[in-house]
Amino acid sequence: MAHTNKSLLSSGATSFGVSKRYVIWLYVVGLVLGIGSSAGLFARLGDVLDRSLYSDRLMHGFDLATFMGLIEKPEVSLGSHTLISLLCAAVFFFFEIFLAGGILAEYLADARMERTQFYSRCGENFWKLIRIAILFFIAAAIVMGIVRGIRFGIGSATENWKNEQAAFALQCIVVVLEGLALLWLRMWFDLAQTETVSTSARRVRSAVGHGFRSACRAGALYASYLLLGIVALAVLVLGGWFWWSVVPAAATVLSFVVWQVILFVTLALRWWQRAVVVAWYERSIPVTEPVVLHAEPLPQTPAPLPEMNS
Amino acid sequence: MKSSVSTVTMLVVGAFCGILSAQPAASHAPLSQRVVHYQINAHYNAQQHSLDASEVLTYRNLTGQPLSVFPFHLYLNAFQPQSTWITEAHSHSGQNGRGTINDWKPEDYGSIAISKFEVAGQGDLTSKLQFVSPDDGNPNDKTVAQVQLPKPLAPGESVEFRIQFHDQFPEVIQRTGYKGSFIMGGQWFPKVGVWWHGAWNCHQFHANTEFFADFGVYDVKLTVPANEVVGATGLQTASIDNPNGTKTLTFHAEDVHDFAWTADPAYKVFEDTYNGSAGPVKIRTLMQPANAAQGPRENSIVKRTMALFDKWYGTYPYPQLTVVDPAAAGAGGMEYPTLITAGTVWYAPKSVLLPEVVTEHEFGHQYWYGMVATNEFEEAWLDEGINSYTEVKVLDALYGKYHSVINGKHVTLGEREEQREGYKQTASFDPMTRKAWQFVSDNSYGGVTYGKTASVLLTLESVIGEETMQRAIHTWFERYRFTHPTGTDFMKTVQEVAGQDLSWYFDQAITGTAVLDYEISSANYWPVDWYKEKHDEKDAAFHNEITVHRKGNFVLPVEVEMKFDDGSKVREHWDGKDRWVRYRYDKKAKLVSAEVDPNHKVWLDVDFFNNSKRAEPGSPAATLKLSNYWLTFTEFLEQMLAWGA
Repeated sequence: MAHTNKSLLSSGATSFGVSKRYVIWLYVVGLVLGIGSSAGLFARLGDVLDRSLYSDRLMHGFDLATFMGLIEKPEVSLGSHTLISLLCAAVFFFFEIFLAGGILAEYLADARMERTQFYSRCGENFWKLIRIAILFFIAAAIVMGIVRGIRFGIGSATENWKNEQAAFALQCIVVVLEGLALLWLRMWFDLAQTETVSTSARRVRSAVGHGFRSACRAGALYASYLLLGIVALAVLVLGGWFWWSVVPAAATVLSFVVWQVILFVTLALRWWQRAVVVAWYERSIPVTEPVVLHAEPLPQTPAPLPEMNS
Repeated sequence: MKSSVSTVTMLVVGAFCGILSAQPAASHAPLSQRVVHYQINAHYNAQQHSLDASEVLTYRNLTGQPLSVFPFHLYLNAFQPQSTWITEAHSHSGQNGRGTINDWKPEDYGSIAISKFEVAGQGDLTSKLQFVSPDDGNPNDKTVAQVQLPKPLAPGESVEFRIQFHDQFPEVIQRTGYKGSFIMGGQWFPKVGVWWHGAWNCHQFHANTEFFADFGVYDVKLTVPANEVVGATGLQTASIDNPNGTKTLTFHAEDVHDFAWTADPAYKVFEDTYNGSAGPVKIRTLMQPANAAQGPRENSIVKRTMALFDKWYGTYPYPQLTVVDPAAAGAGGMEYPTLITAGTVWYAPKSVLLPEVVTEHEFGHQYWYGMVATNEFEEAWLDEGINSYTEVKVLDALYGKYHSVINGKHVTLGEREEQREGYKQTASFDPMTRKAWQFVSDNSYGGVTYGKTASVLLTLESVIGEETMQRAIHTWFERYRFTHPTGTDFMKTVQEVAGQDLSWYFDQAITGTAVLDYEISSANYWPVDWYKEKHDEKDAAFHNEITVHRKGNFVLPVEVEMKFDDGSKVREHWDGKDRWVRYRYDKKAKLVSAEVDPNHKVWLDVDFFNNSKRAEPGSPAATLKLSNYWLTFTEFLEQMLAWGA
């Protein structure tokens, strides 16, 4: 077990540092997909904007009516580009799931893997992680459905409140609770993913079950999760505020840099969360299958299995 | 004895309070013909959201002919299943998926029932009342009832109707009704139709229609629970506390054509005074507690708007204006004589000026509807449209052309742009002169009545000049205030002030559905000696050629401006009659750009992007900026979805 004397966050940071190249990869792939999705739009917008003097109203400031006029033009067709963006998001989703198997294995090993071994772990876990993701979406949908019902009930109950701020605050509290619940849900399924990768178990459902039981007693892990979540939110809010208040409307390059920094940091924080899960998992649950860092030739005759010492 | 003493004490105190709160009722010479005089004594039941009242209506026959039939509006009956209003509202919902009525709840029901209808000297005619549906023949619509008098009313004579009625208010719908402890009493009493152009004008209540009524005097006694804070049309002249825990407030209003009231124990009152050219005007703003911080914001925009209307169009002659912040958004943004409802939320940031836009708009209706009382059923553009135009002018003056709705660092929006945006969606469906309930859809009614009219009048400024346009609107107000003019009167007034025949413009813009769209279809240049292998770079001459195309069927003379790389400009005037025109210039400069309407005065043009063209593609800065936004959006989408991975 690694980093037993360190805090969870610190252990997670160390693991994250080992595999940071893959997070950078993820960021780059996301960026490339984003560029791909906007390339077609760039060409179409260029046909309209580069020739028209009216485009100045979008450059120096952002005139909403001008923008509406632009997207109403059939040649711009924002709807089809939205579809492309959704497709890119789906590709990124699958790519992240694909890499997740390898990255988690590397977190568990606490050392860099050889490339072939890394991708072998990626492929080995891909479908299992897909199945866990499906279960996560089902659970998240249930939670969100329940919260939506609660919010609707609160909305009806507070409809005639004269103190609208109090009603709003109540709704905010419910939204915060929803966020906390989803964060816990995410932690539960991250634990399930970690166990799946760690044990190479075929049965995803048992990993999800174990993950649930682990999540129920993972107070310290949840605190770390929450802290990183709050930091991510703060980066988003403060970064957005900085962009809104400081970055000039016409400074496209600066705007690009600011948003890319925000996006990279939020992505990194997410993977730090996952590394923290692995750190907690290693401390709490014995690793049943040690990760082989250097592949050796398989023995010709089956060797007797070593006995596990507890 | 205790109760007797209490009663006497309360009566004395009440009378004293009444004296204290009595305002000098405006007793100047009548501003209008005062065809009607309503005396209403109403008791509001806050628990049941209902009202029982007796109404005495004195009607003066100024029509010059005997009248034997009298129609009355019973607007609250619109909120009954199968009424014309409900049927149309639901139908519109089906068309665009966002209409007023998609489902129907018990609390949506509203009604007005006449229990007694007497005519002085002619007896009880309750049984003679008949529901009629002059617009669509709907037998289930009960929003208009008429009565045949046994003895016709001679010209110049008056008749007194004595009516007892019961209102059941719906939960707020179509700007009237209750929400919690809040109540907005709009269109709540039997109101006689208008004898107009030789016939009664008394339309049913439709999904897209508003109102039309005669000017007169209102004396209304309103009994409500003692804890209610009340606002109403006119001036409060007395307040008496009753022994049963209620109070009776008396209101008096002159030269108005409607009476509305509101009550809510929770209102916070903000008072201010505007010193206008007709004397001081008391501004009484009733805010919901949650929005109380915005009371001064409401008063500020009211005062600033009043000042500009006073300066540009004419005086506000009433001694008070009541501004109401309703508890339900559905009651907001509505006009009644000397009372308007605003629309705000407690978290409205200063850079989003929607509260100001709504309040300005509703105040404008004091002129375009309140005083210049056009027929809102038949010619809605004359009130909503002209009001939208003056709204643009006021907000432009106060906040700037392109910042008057949203004034953020990264996002801006101007009111004139918002109006034009509404019109563009439905540019070719309906003429402005269409009757309000006959538009193809809600969107078309809104886009044409508000947005197109504003854009038509803004574009008219490019034809007759901004200052002339302002004089025309001023003349329209001064000439027709306290009357019921028509669209023809408006067009005549504008032509008279402008001193020119504008029928060519009005035929296309107001009574027609022509769409205006000009474009620079090509803007090119090439060396004059293009056929030579080598050009004289230093002293080169260029052939510059620009083609302007009238894409739409709306013909409007326009300016076209060409800019060249030596800094020179050429401006041409094109009458627009042909489908296209070509300009050629041989000069020692290359064309940089060409633009139709370089001063951006033609707000009816549905596409501003094709109004200009660069000869060579310009900087892709705007394209890059938007693409960067899209890139960021896509990456966020990716990360959000991947959170589930």
